[in-house]
Amino acid sequence: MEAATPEPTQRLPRQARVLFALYSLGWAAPLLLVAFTAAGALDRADDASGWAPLAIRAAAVAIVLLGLLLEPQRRWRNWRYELRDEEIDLRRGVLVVTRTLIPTIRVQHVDTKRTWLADQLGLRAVVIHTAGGSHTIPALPPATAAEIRDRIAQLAQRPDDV
Amino acid sequence: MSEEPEEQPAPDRSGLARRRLHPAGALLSALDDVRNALFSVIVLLVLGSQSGNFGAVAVLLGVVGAAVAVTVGYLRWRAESYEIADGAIRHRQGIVSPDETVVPLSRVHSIDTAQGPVQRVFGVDELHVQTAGGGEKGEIVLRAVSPEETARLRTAAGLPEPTATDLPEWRLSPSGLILVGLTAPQLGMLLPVVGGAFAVGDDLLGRDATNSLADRLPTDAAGILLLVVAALLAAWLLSFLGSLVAFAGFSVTRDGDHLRIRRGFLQRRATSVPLRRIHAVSVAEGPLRRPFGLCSVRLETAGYGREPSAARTLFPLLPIAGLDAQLASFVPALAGHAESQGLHRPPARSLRRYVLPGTLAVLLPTIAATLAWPVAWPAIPILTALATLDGLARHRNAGWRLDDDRLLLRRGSLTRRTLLARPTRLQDHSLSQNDLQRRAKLANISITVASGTATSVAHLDSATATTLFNRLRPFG
Repeated sequence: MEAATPEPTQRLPRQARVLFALYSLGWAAPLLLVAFTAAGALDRADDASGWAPLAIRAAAVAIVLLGLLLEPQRRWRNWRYELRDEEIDLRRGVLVVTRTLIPTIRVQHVDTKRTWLADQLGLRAVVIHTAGGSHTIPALPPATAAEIRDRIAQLAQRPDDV
Repeated sequence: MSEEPEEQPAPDRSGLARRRLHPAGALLSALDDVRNALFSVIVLLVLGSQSGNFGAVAVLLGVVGAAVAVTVGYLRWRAESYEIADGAIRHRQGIVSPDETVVPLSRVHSIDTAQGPVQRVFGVDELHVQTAGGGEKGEIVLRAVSPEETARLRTAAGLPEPTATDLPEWRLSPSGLILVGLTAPQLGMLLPVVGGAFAVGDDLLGRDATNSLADRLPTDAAGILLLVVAALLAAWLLSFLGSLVAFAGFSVTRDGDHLRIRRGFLQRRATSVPLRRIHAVSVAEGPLRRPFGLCSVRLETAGYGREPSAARTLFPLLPIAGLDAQLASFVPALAGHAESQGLHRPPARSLRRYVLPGTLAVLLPTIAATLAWPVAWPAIPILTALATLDGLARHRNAGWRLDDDRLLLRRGSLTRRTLLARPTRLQDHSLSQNDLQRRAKLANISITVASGTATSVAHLDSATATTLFNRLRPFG
């Protein structure tokens, strides 16, 4: 009846880790700023309570290091994709690993997306749109991205009734 | 995968000549201008009254304003036209820079009608041409079209009016309408509105008035309770009236391969949905409905996903026992046998995963609040107990079942929600797991249907979840 679904095998290029780390900066930088401002304010308070400002600074630095080093590494390690004739198979996630199957017949359109940041690393995103929402393969070499986009577009040519 | 034969109605290629809206459209357009200008008119009147010749300014503004509105309305009406040509509906509007919207007939889901008060006076319809992408407001809106013209447009678009009589029909009875209002699920959502009204009151009455009002507020427990009950009653009344307006005269008719849904009190709305585009329905049993074995059913159809719930309603109120029979006659593809049998449930070992996170999320902040403000201590037992009950209920309600051609996913706590979907029509489906779940051999299943609604059931046995994941693949 049901066949076991083969695991997806294709990985993202290694530069993807740099891109993920840059994305992490988006929340890490404000976090550092807020934490160090708060710690500085505590320092200047009359009853300087010694350990509290230090703890805040240490925690902020630890979280930011995790976010900039471990998180991108793990995101990249977990990312897999596979294109089959009938379905697109995606696996991704840092803490929660999610496996998603998208029937190719449900695909409404496919985009390759190029942002300034990703462009500096020579990367493109492929965005797959269905009637229910969109799915992104966030970092691929331009040639691969174009190839995947065209292949999905070709596979998705059968009409669907949404 | 066994695709159903495409039943695309063959549109009439001969088309429909370009024509204008019913003249009532000019009046509607003028009324819009008047409404838009109302605020500036009021400001001018207030200024005029200060300068002393209030009457003269009012008359002048009235006369000039009406003349301008009617002229612009007439020009706009003259500039607006539509036609069916080359297999597409073309709509042109705009005085200075005319825009043309073209919607291919093959993309038209339905041509819906709505009747506001003005349309009813003239006996015309407002037409909404709906496609998969747009919202409740159609891709093309024709504000005044005579009934004969509506029929001609629908025929030309391959979506003819119902001709047969004696079709299967479901009506919301007047007593049913009252029940819908009394058990409306919007109740909880309206409480913030009441709070907001108090805040607006603050602004309007000014700080002094609010302060004196606050002084008069009761401070004893009985007084506060009374105030809360009063706020609840006010919210309930608003919700009740809202439901009456939205669902008055609600009826569903099945005409071959289309459902026709009519509803509304001030605005009469009629919408038509092709059956083959209904990939899923969701059944909600709210806290006020479930004890009486009642539920409401919503369509999950592309293009209506982000609409207010009234626009997506299939049955506003139905005994859950009669659900399968009603689905069999209105949406046969989603009908099945008695639905609570043979449900796959999350295993007993996942119970604490349903309960603990929510309970802790409540427990820790309430403890912190009590440390800062000891009077708040009753919040610890009360809120923690509620969070625990919520987790227990979510565990009890969760489950799934896959039949030959129907997938059932159930979850929820106070409101039990059941999604019934055609497994061959899912937009995507996912299996997810975190490290802790992997060690406990648990996993979550999530699916997305064409309306964009994602539904997930958490902490299932991972072997069972994987079986479901594999069975949902797009080929059998």
